[in-house]
Amino acid sequence: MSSILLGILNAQAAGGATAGGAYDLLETQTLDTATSIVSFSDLDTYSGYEHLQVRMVARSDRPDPNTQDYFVTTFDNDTNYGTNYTASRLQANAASTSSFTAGSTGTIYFESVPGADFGQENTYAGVIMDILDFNNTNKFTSIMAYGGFNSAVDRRIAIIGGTYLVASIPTSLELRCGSDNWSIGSKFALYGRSGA
Amino acid sequence: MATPTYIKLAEVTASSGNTLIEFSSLPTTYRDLVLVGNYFNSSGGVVSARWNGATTSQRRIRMFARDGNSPYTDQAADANIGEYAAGDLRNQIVVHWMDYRATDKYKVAIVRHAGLNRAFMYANHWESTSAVTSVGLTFNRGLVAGSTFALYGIE
Repeated sequence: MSSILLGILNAQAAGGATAGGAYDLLETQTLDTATSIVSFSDLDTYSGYEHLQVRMVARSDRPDPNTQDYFVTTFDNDTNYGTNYTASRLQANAASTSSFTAGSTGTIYFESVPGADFGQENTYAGVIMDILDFNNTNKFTSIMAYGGFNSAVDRRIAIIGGTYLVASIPTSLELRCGSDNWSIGSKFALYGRSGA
Repeated sequence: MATPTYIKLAEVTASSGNTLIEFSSLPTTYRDLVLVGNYFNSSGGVVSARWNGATTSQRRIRMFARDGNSPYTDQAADANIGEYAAGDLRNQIVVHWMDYRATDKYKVAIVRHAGLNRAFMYANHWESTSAVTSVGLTFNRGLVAGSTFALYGIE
């Protein structure tokens, strides 16, 4: 057995934080009101970072028993899904795995968020999303996200990749709850990552 | 204002035969924890998640692939977050313990695990609204000496 007490070690780590900067917390949002879209709207102020990461613990208030919800990622409030996004995803629901390629008509769509209640009380999905090279006008901004949840009545897990097919630096990121609203208590945090 | 984070809190190197790696007295400074393991075993087995010293009241879903087989998924009310094969090739595991201090929700861990001819992804839930004071991994077969585990904190 190896059991590590962190009281002293954490004090040591605090010194290391001042020399950090490779991975910085930029913004957090904890919902006290249900909302359909969570936005991070100051991406242009984060030009010192090469990549961003969103970490979320979230659920929907979709009032539908035994049913999960999804969310769609957009940049710059651009909902031109027909031409400006493409994505692929691999997902599972414990009964089967499935994969999808959205192609040129696609959305960056993540289908692994629990709905409200009906045995899913207190259950939130964990999702980690990397937003890669968002500051580079020579590349389309791409994302990779993975996560899921498992409640007593439903369960999903997914990994997706998506691309915003516009060669500009996005100034905002939106996480659009699919059917209803993000529930109260959902948490979203944005981080900046320096280059390698 | 940007806050430097993703801070290494501790690192441990296992002794031969260790079956438990646990980090306790967790700080209250962070929102998420990330455990990164690089390990190998002399026998194949299962690694399980421990929340506050327990492997009970957990659910998990996974999808995985093994060499020569189609992708597969299943779920269970257990603490399984990875399966490893015996041999000299190391296994890698990354566990994101999310919002571990929250008292308004069940806890969720997102896990990626890779090893010899296999790759897994898990969503693990501990069905408790208690704040988490320790996290750990248990192995039903003892670790080989030299396996390493590090814990990071993210605000």
